[in-house]
Order: sequence, then structure tokens, then C-alpha cells
Amino acid sequence: MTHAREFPRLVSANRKKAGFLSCALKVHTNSSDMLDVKRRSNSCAMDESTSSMNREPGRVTEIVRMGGSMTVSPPTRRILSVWLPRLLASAFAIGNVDGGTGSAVQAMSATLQPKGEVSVPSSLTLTAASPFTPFTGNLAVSYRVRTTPSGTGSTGTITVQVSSDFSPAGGPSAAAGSLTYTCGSASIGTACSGTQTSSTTTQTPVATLPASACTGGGGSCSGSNPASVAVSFSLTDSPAYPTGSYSASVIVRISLV
Amino acid sequence: MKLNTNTLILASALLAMAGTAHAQFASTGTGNVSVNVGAEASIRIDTPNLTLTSTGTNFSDYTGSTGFTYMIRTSAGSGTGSITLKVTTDFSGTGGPSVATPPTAGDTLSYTCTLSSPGTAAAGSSASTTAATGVGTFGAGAASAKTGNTGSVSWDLTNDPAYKTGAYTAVVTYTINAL
Repeated sequence: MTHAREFPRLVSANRKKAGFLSCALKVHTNSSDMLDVKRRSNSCAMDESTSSMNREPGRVTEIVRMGGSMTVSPPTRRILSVWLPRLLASAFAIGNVDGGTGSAVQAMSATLQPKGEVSVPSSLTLTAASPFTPFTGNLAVSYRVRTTPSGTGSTGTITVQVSSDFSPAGGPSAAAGSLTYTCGSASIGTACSGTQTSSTTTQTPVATLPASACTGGGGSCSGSNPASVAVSFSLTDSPAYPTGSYSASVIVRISLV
Repeated sequence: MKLNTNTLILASALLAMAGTAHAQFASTGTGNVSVNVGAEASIRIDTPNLTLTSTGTNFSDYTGSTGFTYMIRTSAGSGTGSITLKVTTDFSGTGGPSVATPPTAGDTLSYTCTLSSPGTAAAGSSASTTAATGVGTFGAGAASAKTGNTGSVSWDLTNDPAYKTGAYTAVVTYTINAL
């Protein structure tokens, strides 16, 4: 009969026998509270166990490990021996259902609010094909929109406004009516018609958006995502403009009403 | 203080991203519209088909006037501009007037100019088939009216009795430039 109290000495004796202690020690506690210490290599031969018959309540068993020591108190050993297997068993049970069919019903709902977004290139350079012909350039306006069904009054508009007039001063001026534009066809909605004069004080139309509009996917929605409309700007090239580079900022706004 | 630094870094990164080719989707989108206004000029001949005529019976010279409208913008500082002309196609036919090889030495196609501001008219000279000759000049920062300004070239073609009768046509090319 091996007594747990003698265990450290057995290990110590085995270490002397093997010459070193590079063993990976496993501590197994089974239902009979058996403690096993097993070797990794043959050179570290050791296998000791204690049966429940040998267990003495309240005894502290010391295990030599990698040249150090570890103590396992009775409460800890109880947790390891009783609860850890149950927790592992529960975890496996969750991921491994054998037999039977189950179903569950969950009601899900989402409220989609009217929404519109636009995106424009960060810069656009207007150029002239020949002397004193207008400087021109196309601004590609991309947008996504969702309006509520007809009858609820939800429609939208896309507008443009010169938020910062051409600078430096002395050259072209949107405030003076030098910057005009026309609109290409709109993927969703109706593009503006005719020549529009850009303004620094008011929003001028680019497109109107109908009710029940939605972007992408085809069917009752548009086929393209995002939708697009081209704004073709034209800036008067007056001989009176001093030579130089001029820049203005335009803001494109989508709004739903 | 560390938080403020991080916030500044984040703000800087967002600003840098905002400058990329196509902005993100949002309820508004802002784009910069820019234009480079350079020195440029253009000219339009208002009397593209001019017939020189002679009055009287004393071999008075054939005369006529070509009107033109020009638009110009020259750079400030060291900008300049000019209008020149050149006979690019001499009078057709044989035995008639010729700019390059007149039948009689001294026969010429000469001209004088008028040019409204901001141009300055040239004194005038004999036209040439080999070299451009002056009509007018412009200084720095010159800017014509939006609808253009006008000028004219008054022609004088020697009426040499040696010229055989007939209709003769030459082509004159006007060039305007601006720097």
C-alpha cells in the first residue's frame, strides 16, 4: 500500500534514478479520487496512485513538477474532480444533438425609413476646347435613395448650390451668373431640364425623385446601384478674366420631403 | 492630453480620406470646381470675301478694307500679344498682280491698320508671301471686351497697266496670339 505522504519522496527517488526530471506531469482525479502522475519519457518512469481507501481527508498532497512543487488543496481537487467533467459534458452536449427535430418561431421586423445619400467626385476641372468658348466639365453625381410608397407624400430632390464662389476674385463668378449647367438623364427620378444657372444663395434643381423609389436590385427598384445623374457645367470664358487658376466649391444635396 | 492627440490624428486621417477621388455617400456631397484661365486670343474676319476696286480711269490703285473682331487675354506682368497677316496664297493666274513676283518692280500689295483698344495698330507695310507682317500689338494684362473688339486692314494694290484683264484672287491669313 502506497501512502500519499510518501509520494514526494518517491518522486525524488525516481528523479535520482532517471537523472533528471523533464516529465510532463498529468494530474488525474477520478471518481475514486485517484491521483496519477504519469511520465512523458521512459527515462522518467514513475506511476503512483492512491485509492480512495488511502485518501485521508484534509491531507495536502504535494507534487514535484519540473523541479518545483505544486500543492492541490482539497477544495480545488473537488472542483477538478466534480465540476470540470460536468462542464465539459455540457459543452459537448450543446454541439452534439443526437436524434429528434426541433423548431422555433421568432417574429422579426424592421422599419425602413426614407433615406437618400449622394456622392460626388472631390474635384472637377473645367476646360475649354478653343479660345473663349465656355469652360466645361461633367460632374457625376451618384446617389442612393429610398422613398416611401406613393400616397404618403414622400418624394425627394437633388439640388446643387455653389457653397464657395470662385476665388481669387476678379475672375469668373457664380454669383454673377457665369456658371450654368444642364442635367443628363437620371437613373432614378427626373433630371432637370434646360439650362440652369448655378447660384451661391439658393439650391437649384438637378433631379426630382418620385415616391416608391428604391435603388438597385431591379424589379420595382432601379437596376443600378448607385443611381447616377450627370451635371454638365459650363463656365463663361470672358477675356476680362485675368489669367490664373480659380476654384469654387459646389454642394450637392439630396433631400426627402 | 493623450486623448486630444489621438483625436487630432483621427481628424487628420479623416480629412486625408476626404480628399480621395470619390467621396463617401452622405446626405450632401461637396466637390471643388476649378478652372485654369490662361492667356488666349481669337480673331474673326468679318469680311471674309473682299473685292478690291479701283475708281476712276486713271489706273488708281485697287483698294478695299477688311474688318475683323478680336478677343484677347494676355498674362499680367510680362504678357504680350499680336495680330499679324500673311499672304498664304498669291494671286492666281498669270499676267496679273502678284505679291511674290509682280510683273513690274514696285508693284505691291500694301496695307494700313486700325485697331481699337486694348490693341495698338501697326504702322502698316507691304504684304508678303514669306513673312508675317504686323497688324497690331498688345501689352501685358490686355483684355478685350467679352464680345470682342474690332480692327481693320485697308488694302492698296498697285493698278499696273501691265496686268492682264481678269479676276485674280489671293488668300490672306490673319493670326492673333497671346502670351
